[in-house]
Amino acid sequence: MKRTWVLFSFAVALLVVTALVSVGIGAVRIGPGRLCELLFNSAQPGTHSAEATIFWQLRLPRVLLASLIGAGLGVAGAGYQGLFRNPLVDPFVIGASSGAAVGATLAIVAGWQGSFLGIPLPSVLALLGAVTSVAIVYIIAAMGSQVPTVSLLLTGVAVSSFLGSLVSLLMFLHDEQLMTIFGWLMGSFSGRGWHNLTAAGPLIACGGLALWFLSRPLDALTFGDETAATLGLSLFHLRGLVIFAASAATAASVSTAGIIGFVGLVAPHLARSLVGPRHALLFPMSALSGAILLLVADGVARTIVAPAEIPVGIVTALLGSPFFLAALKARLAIGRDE
Amino acid sequence: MSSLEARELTCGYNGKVILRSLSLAAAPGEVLVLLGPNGAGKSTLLRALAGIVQPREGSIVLDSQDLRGFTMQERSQRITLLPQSERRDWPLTVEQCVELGRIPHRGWLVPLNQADRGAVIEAINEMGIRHLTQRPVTQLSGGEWRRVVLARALAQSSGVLLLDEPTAGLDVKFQHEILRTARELARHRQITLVVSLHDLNLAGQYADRLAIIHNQSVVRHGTPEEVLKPDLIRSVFGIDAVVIRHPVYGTPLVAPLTVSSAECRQAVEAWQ
Repeated sequence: MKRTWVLFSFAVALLVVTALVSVGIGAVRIGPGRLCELLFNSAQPGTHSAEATIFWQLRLPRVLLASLIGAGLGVAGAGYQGLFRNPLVDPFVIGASSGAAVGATLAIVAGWQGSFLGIPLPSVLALLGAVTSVAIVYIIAAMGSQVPTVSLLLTGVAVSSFLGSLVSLLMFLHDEQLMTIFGWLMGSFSGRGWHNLTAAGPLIACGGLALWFLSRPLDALTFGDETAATLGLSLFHLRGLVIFAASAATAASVSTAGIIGFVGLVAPHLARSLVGPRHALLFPMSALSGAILLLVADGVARTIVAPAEIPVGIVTALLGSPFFLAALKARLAIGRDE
Repeated sequence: MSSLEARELTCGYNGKVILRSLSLAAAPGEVLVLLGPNGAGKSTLLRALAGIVQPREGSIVLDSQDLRGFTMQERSQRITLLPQSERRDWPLTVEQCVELGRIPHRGWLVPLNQADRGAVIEAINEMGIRHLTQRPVTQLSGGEWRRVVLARALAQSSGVLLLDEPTAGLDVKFQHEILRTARELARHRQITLVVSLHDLNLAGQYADRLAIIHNQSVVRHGTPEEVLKPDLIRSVFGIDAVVIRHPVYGTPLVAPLTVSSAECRQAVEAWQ
């Protein structure tokens, strides 16, 4: 119990430090002293310097957004992993991201700018896309009460490539918006501001909170469908809620920052090695590690070829794919799949 | 204390009927064992008794009330089914696993209270797994894992316990240990216990009553002495056997024969 508190405090502290460093680095460096001034003396006159503008309008929203999206992807990954009872699951691997991308792309090319219940339409369509694709992957890949890794990955690949070609088709038919879609799709935080934060925030918060409320049923589900049923849980409702909540977090992330793969895989892995597999602790820790991971990835993305920057989705894929392969190898080696 | 009864039960999956007009009752404090060949429908019957498979016709009656009148949560407070095998994909600790048995009483969110803690600790002690509480379930042996699952079922504090082949895949020592413990629990907590088994001799030794499931229904029902007869064993399981008495307990002991029927009958007559 004490160890858990120490770990969580440490993770929060690390997140804050990473965020501060992240705010400081870039084309214009902002030193620690200056950072404090900007943060705490904002109300004073004379702060409308270029530095202040960069800090308030570019860096801070970007860092907050990266943390939020990282947390959302981490929580979504942990939720999907619990649902599929498989630690190799990630919103990207099982087609949730591609499904969300189709929905969001459709909204972009059709020029739907409105909102539904306060949620921007691209996010709503992204949510529908993500829920549909995960449900399809689950129905096809599940064999009885279990989801073998190989069938899961194959189904995920097939569904993802189908959805990927839908996105390509939409881009092809609307080539005037090609660069917009392309730039967004590769996963990037450049040019995102406060309005993105307020658009994605509520959906990610709701999804994450809903998943956290489902912690105990998800713990029970790890022992199998029949066990969950004999404990009085409705499998249909439980699965539906998990898919919906995790997809909400995924959809908000994808419609804001494009497809960012593998954060949802690595973050729960890290979290599980720190606080164990219980979902009540796993979800908050996955959120924290997801936020830290994506902040670091974004830091790399905008400094490695400075003053230019590369899409953060490329960084996470470059770092995440080898991790995924190593985890796959480990899982196949222990043979705990049948 | 609860009694559980199947009345004229017909059920199955996807349009295929597995059990037809089956009637069977289980009473508190006694061990009812289901026997039958592979695919006879023992697991289906247990699932139906647990309310996980819905009857197509007939009903399951718990304390003279139709099970369909219960919500899922009420049902899970009163009936526990232990499936034949459970997955253990994540390394939750033994204690965390046993605590899940309180879900029917605490729901999804409410933290465990003093009574829940008490039930968990009692179940852990009763199954003799105190020394394992902090171990990940993924590292347990088959016998230890069975005891953990049984402890979780006990923590559920329901009056009816349904065990689907609890001895499958266990060493002979653990097979007897599990059944002995289960029988003691039934007596001491006045639990209604229904167990499906494959081994005729285990059934003969531990059952208070036996029901043979065959051809979609109960073909014979009674004490082990009444049920375990060579003619029935031949017609249901397709083997010839002699039935003797256990030298210590006097319970029926089935000794299968390896020769053909004709030779066998001669041998049996000669032996008798």
